[in-house]
Amino acid sequence: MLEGKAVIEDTDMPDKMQIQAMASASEALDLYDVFDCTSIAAHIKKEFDTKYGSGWQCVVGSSFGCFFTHSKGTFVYFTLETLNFLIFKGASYLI
Amino acid sequence: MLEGKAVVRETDMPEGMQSYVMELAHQALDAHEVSDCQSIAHFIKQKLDEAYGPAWNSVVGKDFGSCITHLCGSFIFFRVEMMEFLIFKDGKNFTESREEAIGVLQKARNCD
Repeated sequence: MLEGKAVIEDTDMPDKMQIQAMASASEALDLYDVFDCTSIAAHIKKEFDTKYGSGWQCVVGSSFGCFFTHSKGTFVYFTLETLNFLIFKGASYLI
Repeated sequence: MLEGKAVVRETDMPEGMQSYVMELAHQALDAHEVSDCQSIAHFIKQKLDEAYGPAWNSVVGKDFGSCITHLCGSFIFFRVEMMEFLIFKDGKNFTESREEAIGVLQKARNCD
């Protein structure tokens, strides 16, 4: 178990959803190697699609920049260990 | 001017759109520092929103993995020099969307 603590960099998500995001990330890091960003991202996205409906997007890595449009209240960007995590639901998925 | 040629890793975009996106990538790399991934991503997303309607998403970098859901016919993952580009558009309904898991696979990570 990685003992690292997640640090929220930016978000507009409800608190409970934030906690779920960080829990999913920790879970993914237990299951997959830290180099396997794709599997980590896939794990988190599927968790969110299951819990909060389809259309979630997830980017994981140590070197990336991006620009996107997201639905209101569905965005979080945080760091955990050496990785950065971006999770959001696309703008086209109106709730 | 980066002379590098774009190498498409994966896409379901029409040819014309592919060419346009890669042209935007070259323009962005000319206009911005190669280390400024966010401005590069911003430039590309903005141009695509204007050309093909909102809402495009753009991820640029050297080291990332992702899992996305995109509208069919509007997804491309390619490389120019050392940079990887993931460009996609959200779908309005699930029957027109597809899930993709893509990333830059490395055997070892450079910690510099």
